[in-house]
Amino acid sequence: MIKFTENDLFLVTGASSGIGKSIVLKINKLGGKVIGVARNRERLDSIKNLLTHPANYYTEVKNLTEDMGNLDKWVMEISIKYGKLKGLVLSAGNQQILPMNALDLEQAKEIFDINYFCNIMLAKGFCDRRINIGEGSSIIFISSVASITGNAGIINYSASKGAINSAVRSMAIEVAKQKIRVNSILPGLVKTELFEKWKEFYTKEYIEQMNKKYPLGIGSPEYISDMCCFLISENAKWITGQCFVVDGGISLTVG
Amino acid sequence: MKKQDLIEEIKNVMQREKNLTLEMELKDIEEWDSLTVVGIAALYDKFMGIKIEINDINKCKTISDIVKLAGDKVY
Repeated sequence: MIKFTENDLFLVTGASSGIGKSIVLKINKLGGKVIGVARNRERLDSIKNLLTHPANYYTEVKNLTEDMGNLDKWVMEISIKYGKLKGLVLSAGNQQILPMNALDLEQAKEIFDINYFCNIMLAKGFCDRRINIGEGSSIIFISSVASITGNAGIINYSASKGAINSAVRSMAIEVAKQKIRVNSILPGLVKTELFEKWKEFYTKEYIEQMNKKYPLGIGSPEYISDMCCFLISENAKWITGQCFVVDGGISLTVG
Repeated sequence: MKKQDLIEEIKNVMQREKNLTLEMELKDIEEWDSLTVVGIAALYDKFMGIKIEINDINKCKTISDIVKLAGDKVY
């Protein structure tokens, strides 16, 4: 049984929707304190009705790609404001469906900014001895099963997630002596607000097709937050530098 | 760069909560390790455009010795 206390403070990015939102709700339900970070105040506030312990939820409106180079200092400001952090969950990210013939360098870099560089700078901030609690602290990167499988139109997106998987291993070694654990989760297709945003791509037919293709059907954000809460808990204290596939079995299928 | 500012930046590289003084011996500083040494080299390059050798940092015994590596770039 995973349990957090009010002394367990977590910073979660991408908190207002999808997987990030589900992680905020679950940490809160399990008794931990969460600082949710997202760009949109309204959406961050809208979560409040769904929380088990609303008093243990704080919000920070932040566009992470603005002043990316100083995100480490921003994490320090957060820690001064709220206290030392036990965990950092990096769920902010963007999807990009762009075939090679439409690949544009600037757009490609933007995806790396939000999916990779922002997360690395936030992780840098978190790993500062003055910011985390030391033993018991950990970082979770939300990667994607797209980083280990192939699909048309997501060359750059999958590469940005693959970069995370590689970074996790070396980061885990570098911060192990501080007793910080670092892991990533590679979700398969889960039904989130991105379905709405990309509805030209996520057509009803496509979703039905995917539901058949996924051995266990397409997923729900809760399947990812369950794994996340395990990994940031004491139950996972000997697990670091790993990339966990949580994908309903899709990465096992061929064709 | 002001000497006091440089010491503050060195403290940041070490991620140290307590203050540093010029007289402090590196061997007595808990946060001092090989990654800190690399971090100091990067710090001198970034803030003062000075390329210092890792070996030169490794020869330092005190915080003061490290500050001296910046030569006349600190005042």
